[in-house]
Amino acid sequence: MAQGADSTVHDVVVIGSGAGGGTVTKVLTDMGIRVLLLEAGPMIQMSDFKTMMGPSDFWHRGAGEAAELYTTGQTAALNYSASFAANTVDEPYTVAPGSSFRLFRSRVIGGRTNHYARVQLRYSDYDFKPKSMNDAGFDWPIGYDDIAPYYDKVERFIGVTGRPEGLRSAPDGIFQRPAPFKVHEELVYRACARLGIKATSSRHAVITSPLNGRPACIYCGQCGRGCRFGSNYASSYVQIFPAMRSGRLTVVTDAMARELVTDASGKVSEVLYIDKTTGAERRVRCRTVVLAASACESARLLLNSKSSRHPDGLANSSGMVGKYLTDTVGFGMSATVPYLRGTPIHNTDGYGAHLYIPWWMADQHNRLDFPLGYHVEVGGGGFGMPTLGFGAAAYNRVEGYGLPMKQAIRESYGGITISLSGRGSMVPNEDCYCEIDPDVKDKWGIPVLRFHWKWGDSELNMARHMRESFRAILETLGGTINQPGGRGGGAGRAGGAGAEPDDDRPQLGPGGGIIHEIGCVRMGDDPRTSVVNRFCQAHDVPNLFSADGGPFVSHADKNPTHTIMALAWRTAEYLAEEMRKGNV
Amino acid sequence: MSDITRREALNRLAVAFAAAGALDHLAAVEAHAAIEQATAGGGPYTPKALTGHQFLTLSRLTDLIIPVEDGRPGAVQAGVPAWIDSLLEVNAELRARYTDGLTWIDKTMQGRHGSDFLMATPEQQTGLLDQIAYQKNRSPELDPGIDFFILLRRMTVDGFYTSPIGMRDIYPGNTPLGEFTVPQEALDYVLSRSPFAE
Repeated sequence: MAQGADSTVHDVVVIGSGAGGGTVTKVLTDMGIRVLLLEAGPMIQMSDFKTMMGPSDFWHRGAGEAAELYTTGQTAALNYSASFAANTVDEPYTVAPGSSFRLFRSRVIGGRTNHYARVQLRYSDYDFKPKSMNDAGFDWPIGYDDIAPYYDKVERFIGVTGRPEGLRSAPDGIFQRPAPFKVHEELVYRACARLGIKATSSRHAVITSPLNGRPACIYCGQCGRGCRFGSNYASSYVQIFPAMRSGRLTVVTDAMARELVTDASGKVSEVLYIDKTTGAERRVRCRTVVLAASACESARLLLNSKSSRHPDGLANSSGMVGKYLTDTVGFGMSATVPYLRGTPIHNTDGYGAHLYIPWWMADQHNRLDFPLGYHVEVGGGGFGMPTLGFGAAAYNRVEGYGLPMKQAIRESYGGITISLSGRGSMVPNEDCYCEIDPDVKDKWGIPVLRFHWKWGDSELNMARHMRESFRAILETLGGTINQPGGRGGGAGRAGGAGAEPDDDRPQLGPGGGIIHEIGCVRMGDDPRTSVVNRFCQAHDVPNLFSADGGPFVSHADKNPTHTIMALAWRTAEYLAEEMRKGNV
Repeated sequence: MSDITRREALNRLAVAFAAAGALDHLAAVEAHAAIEQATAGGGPYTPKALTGHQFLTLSRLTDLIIPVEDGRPGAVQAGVPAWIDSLLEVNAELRARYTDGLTWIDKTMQGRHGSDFLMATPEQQTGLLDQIAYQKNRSPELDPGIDFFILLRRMTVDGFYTSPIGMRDIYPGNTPLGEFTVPQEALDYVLSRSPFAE
């Protein structure tokens, strides 16, 4: 039964501590407003991140606690990642028959912002208006000009590297100086130029000059481990930990929100959550609630918050909660580039990819069989950190021992493949949505999500274009295309996508596979077809706000994090103003 | 000792960076080098899984597999024998392969030259390894030695390049930089071999 220990009515309860929750929390506490932040995962400290560690930081170096690598061949790889993947035994989800979907959740303070690649791209004008500009999907009720001042605020606060280019598909921001292209990226840049494609410096939430008390990046290339020094963005160390020092933030970790309770007026009055350390159910009273649990989890919370006033779930009179879920279209191809062999060994860590390719055909849709676009991320080359197995190809080939063997290892060191990964826009469709599974519950008795998913022709046609473009770029730089591997990749397969045997389009991976799931709590002016208004305030419940990827109406040819943050900043300012006026 | 020291040192590094605001990169590089030195191998070691004789034989073998090169440390200086010994302590099957293999080496050397491996001349030592380091020499007589050498070479290379010293021998990354630069030499090498050569 619920415990009534906390009788405080919190001005703002924020559920979820990722990019959106962290942004709302920092903006509000900076304005003098007190916030209670609920996070489903544990608290961590910057010293927990494995930045700059190596195999020798583990006594067995990766061989396993029983050195099993050398007798059974089996061992878990050393895990340096800062991702705290949800345990799918405790927290399952289901997938409807005929659908393919994979949900990734990171249960920790800061969520996925601790380990994401830090790609930080402004949406273009057309990303907000795909219907009116490209006759696809749905327009947002707001546009680029509404969000632009908030992109400015986010960039000034967190710092983003980049090079201004004046491209419609890559709106310029307030940039810090980017790092130079790596050797293999120089090849991609030149191949693109030959094909009339403009590649440019990547835009990453990494700082190359000190900013707001955070030191500049030291180019260790380990952003995915979380940054011990705070030189990249994560909501944990850039927003939440500083907000905690303001004295206006209370953080409750290991707190799994289970239901939002409304009062007689229809407003949210309490948040019920499970204290995961004890299993006890607790309640907090709230004046306002900001839902930032990630798009799907926020939809889940709304759908699980039924009442007589909200029989289909909270704020769901439109029936739109859970609907029009989208993910990024992902397709990859790699090539072997033999002349990279023998490159003088040098430090290639950097801050990940230093180059990317913005969408280059935004104004040429009459030549394409899909209405939207994609950008391209680049990987490959480089001199990686030795791990167990290092040099095996060389010494298995040359055999022997001593200095000749060592020389052979040195000569074979270094990556000679280049990979291109397309990240494309998706047209929202009715076959992609999440709902509450009628039978399955998680460890704490909370009904789980069931996913429905189907890629549309727009996405499959786009993947075919990615394949053709990548082949052109990789062959132009002198690469030999690697044969197709598993799902979603490779140089084209017969009998790929659909039921038709002559469908030569690539197969795409499961929905959610690129981990950019957005939608499900979508924004609109019309309460009959949307969940939240243009300020991310629920139409049905005026003291309920959304600050994750939920409100997104369309899916851009860009990663969503930057826009989640800008939108959340705007929502926080609106919320504060509404509180000041006494409207909520 | 080395695990804790390194973690503590890394934490102190992080605190120093955060307090500094602007990063003193020279200090960072020096601090990083100090961390690695503190965690390097070398110094007296009491084997836990192997006998003293077996450990010394193993050390000589790893020294031959990855020797000192132009003054740059090799497998022994990088602490490889101690690392292997620590793995043998937790895996009985692996330990048996080593004790059997080391015994085979001593017995074979005894039969050929009347001494164990350690007391043989360097030429006699490399003479034996020159045989068991190549699969083309397989025979009923040499197979046990060849099989053992495959395992030993693999673990010596693994232990060397994952040690702080050995990693520094080849990998220039995982080190703090004040600026990211690409050597012109590397760019020239690749571009001159690419379709973009002028």
